[in-house]
Amino acid sequence: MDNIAAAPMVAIRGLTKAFGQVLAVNNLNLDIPRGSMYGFVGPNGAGKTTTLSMVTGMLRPDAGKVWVDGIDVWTDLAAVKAKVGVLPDRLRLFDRLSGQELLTYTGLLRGLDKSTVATRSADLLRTLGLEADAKKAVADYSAGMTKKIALACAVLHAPALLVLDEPFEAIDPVSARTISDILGAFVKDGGTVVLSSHVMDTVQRLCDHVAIIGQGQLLAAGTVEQVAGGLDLEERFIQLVGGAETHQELTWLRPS
Amino acid sequence: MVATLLGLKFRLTLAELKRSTARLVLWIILGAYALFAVALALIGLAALALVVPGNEQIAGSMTVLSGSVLVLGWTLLPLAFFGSDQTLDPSRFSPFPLSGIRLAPGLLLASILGLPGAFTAILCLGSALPWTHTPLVALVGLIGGALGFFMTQVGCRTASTALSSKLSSRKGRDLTAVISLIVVLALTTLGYAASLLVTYVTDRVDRLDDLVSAISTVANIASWTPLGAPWALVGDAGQGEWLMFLAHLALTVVYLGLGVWMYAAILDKALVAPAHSESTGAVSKDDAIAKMAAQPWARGAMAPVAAIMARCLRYWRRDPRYLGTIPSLLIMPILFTIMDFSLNSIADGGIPSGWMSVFGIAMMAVMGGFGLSADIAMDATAWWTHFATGIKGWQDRLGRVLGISVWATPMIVVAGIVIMVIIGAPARIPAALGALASLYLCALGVASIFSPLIVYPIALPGESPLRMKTGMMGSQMLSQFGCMTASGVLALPVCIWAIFAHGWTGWLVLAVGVVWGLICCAAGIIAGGKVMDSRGVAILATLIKNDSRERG
Repeated sequence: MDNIAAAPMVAIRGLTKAFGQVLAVNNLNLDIPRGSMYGFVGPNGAGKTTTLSMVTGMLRPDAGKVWVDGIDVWTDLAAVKAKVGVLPDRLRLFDRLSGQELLTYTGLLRGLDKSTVATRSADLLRTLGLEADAKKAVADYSAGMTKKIALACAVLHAPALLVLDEPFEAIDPVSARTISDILGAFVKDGGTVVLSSHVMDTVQRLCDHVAIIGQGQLLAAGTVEQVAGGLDLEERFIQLVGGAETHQELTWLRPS
Repeated sequence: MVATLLGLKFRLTLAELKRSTARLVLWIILGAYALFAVALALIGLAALALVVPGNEQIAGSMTVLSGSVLVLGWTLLPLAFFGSDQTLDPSRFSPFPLSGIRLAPGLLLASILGLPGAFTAILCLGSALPWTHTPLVALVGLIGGALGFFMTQVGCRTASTALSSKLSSRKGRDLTAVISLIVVLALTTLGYAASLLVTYVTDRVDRLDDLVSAISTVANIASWTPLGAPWALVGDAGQGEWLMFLAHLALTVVYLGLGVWMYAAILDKALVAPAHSESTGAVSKDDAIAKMAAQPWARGAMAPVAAIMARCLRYWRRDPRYLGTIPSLLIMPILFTIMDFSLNSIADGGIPSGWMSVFGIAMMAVMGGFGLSADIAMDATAWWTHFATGIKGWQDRLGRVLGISVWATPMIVVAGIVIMVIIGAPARIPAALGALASLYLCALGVASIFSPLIVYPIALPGESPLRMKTGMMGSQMLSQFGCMTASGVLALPVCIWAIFAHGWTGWLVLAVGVVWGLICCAAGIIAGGKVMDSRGVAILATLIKNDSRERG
C-alpha cells in the first residue's frame, strides 16, 4: 500500500468465516475504491452481514485480512473504529433513551465535544424528519424511524467510511430520497459508502460499484455497468445467483 | 379444532425439546424433580386412605383447601411469569378467521401437554386416592379432580390472556413487570411471615379441635367459590351429603361455564387487538445525557463517562429489569431483621441478637455491588455502540459504577443507620458504615472485572425480569460466587476491625473502610477496563448469540 491516494479504502483478502459447519464467507477478495458508493447484494443468508461485520471489526474472521484506509483491522482496531461509521442490522439500540439522547450519547462516546454534538444532532434530526419525535423513547419508534436514528448515529462523527447494513429497509420513499441525497453528497466530498441491500433498483440507481455474493463467495464485482454487462442489474443478479423457479404456475391462484 | 390445537402444542413442545441439548437436559432434570415430587405426593395421598374412614369431614376440608390453593396458584402464575410461555399465544391466531369460543376448549386442554400442566393433572386426579375405600366416592374424586384441573387452566389462561392485552404497550409491559416482581417478593415475605405465625400459634394452641374447626370454616367458605367448588364434591360424597354434592356440582358447572365464556370473550378481544400499540409522550423533556455531560467534571475523557452514567441512571429508573433489583435488595435487611427478632423471641440464646440483622445489611451492600456484574448482559446487543465508538473499558466501567452509586450509596447508608438503631447499637454506626463501605466498594470493583469476563444470558430488554434463561443459572452462580468470595475476602480486614472497634476508633474504621474500598474499586475499574478492551469482540459475539438464541 505505497500510494495511499490510489490505494483502496477497503481491501479484503482471503476473508473466511464459518459458523459451525456452515461456511458463511468463503475466501473473499475485494477492493472497495476510495470515494465510491459500493453496493453489496446477495440473496438471504449469502454472507453480506457477516462480511460487513468483519470489515468493521465487529466479528473476528477465521482467516484472511481486511485493511481500512491502509490500516489492518485486526492489528489496530481502535484506529479503524475512529474512521468508520456503522449501521448494523438487527442489533439493538439503547432504546430507553429518546432519539435526541441517543444521538448525544453516541456523539459523546465518539469523543466529540458537547457543542459539536448539539449542532450536529439538531441538524440530523431536522434533516431526517425526526424533530417531532426527538423526545420520544427510541423503543416507541417505528421500524423506519429506528433505522433513521441509527443512521444518524452512524454519520454523527463524520467518518471516512460508512458501512451500512440494509439502510433502506422499512424506510418510506421520502426518507429514502433524503438518505440517498445525504449519502450522495458524502461520496461527492470524497467519502466512501458500503451498503447492503435486497432491492436491485436502489443499488442500480444509487451505487457506482456493486459486488454480488452468493453462499459466501464473490460472484461478480466492479462498476455497476461492468457487472450488469448490458443487462438490467436484477436480471444479471438472478442469472448469477441461480434463477427463481417461476415457470411452475399456480393454476388455482385465481380470485374465487 | 381441539385436535389441531393439541397437535400443534405437542409439536411445539417437541421442537422446544429438540432445540438444544442443554435445554433437553434442563427439562429432564426439572421433569425428574417434578416426577419425584408428584410421586411423593401421590404416595402421601394413597397413605391418607388409611386414615380417611371416620375422618371424612376433615379430609374433605383439606381437599378443598389444597385444591383452592392450587387453582389460586395457577391463576396468579401468569402475573409472576408473564410472557414466559408464548407457545399458543392467542394473538398468533389473529390472522385466521377463528372465534374465541372455537379456540377456547383446545387452548385450555393443550396445556396438559406441557410439563407443569401434565403434572398438575396427575396431582388433581390423584386427589381421589385417599377415598379408594369406597369405589363410588373415588370415582367422584376422579371427576372432581378433572373438573378442578380444568378450573386451574381456566384461571391461568384467562389471567394470562387478560394480562397480555396490557402487555401490548411498552408502558403496560414495564408496569406489569414491576408489579409482578413486587407480587413475588411480597409472597415470599408473606410466606415467611406466615410460617413464623404458624410456628408461633402452634406453640401456644394446645387444643387441636380449634385448628380443625378453623380449617373447616375456611374450607366451607372456599367450597362456594370458583376456587374450591370442584374440590368439595369428593368430600360431600364421602360424607353422604348428596344434597350438598348436587349444589357444589351445579355451582362447579356454572363457574366453569362462566369461566370458559369469559375466557372466550377475552380471546375474542385478543384476536382482534393490534399486536403493537403506539405510545405517545416524551420519555424526557430535557436531554438527560447532555445535562449530565454539562457538569463541570465531565470534561475530556470524563465526558463519555458522564454520558454512560446518565444512561445507566435512566435504565435504573425505567427498565423493569434494573428497577426490580432495588426491591430485591431492600428485602434482604428486612427479612434478616425479621428472622433475627423471631429467632430470639422463640428461643433465647443461639445467635446473639443483632448479628443476623447486620448480616442482612452486609448482604445488601455486597449484592448491591454485585448488581453491576449483569450490566453488559443487560445492555444485550445495544452494547455494540460502546464497542463501535471505541471508548476505553475504564470509561465504560466507571460510568456504570457512578450510575449505580447515585442511588445505592444513600440506600446502604440509610439502611445501615436504621438497622443499627433498631438493634440498639447506635454508637457503632460509624464502624458499621465503614464495613458496609468497604463491602460495597470492593463488590463494585470485583463486579467490574467479572462483568466483561462472564457475560451470562439474562432477560432481554423488554422481557420480564423474572424470566429464566437456559444456561443462566450456571454462569450466574459462578459469577455470583466468585464476586461474593472475592469481595468478602477483600473487605474482611475492615469488617473484622469494625466488629472489635469501640468508641472513637469507629470513625477510623469508617475512614479506612471508605479509602480501602475506593482503592479496590479503582483497581477493579482499571483491571475490568483492560479485560473489556481485550475481550470486546468476544463479548459482542456472546451478546449476539444470547440475543438470537431467543429470537430463533
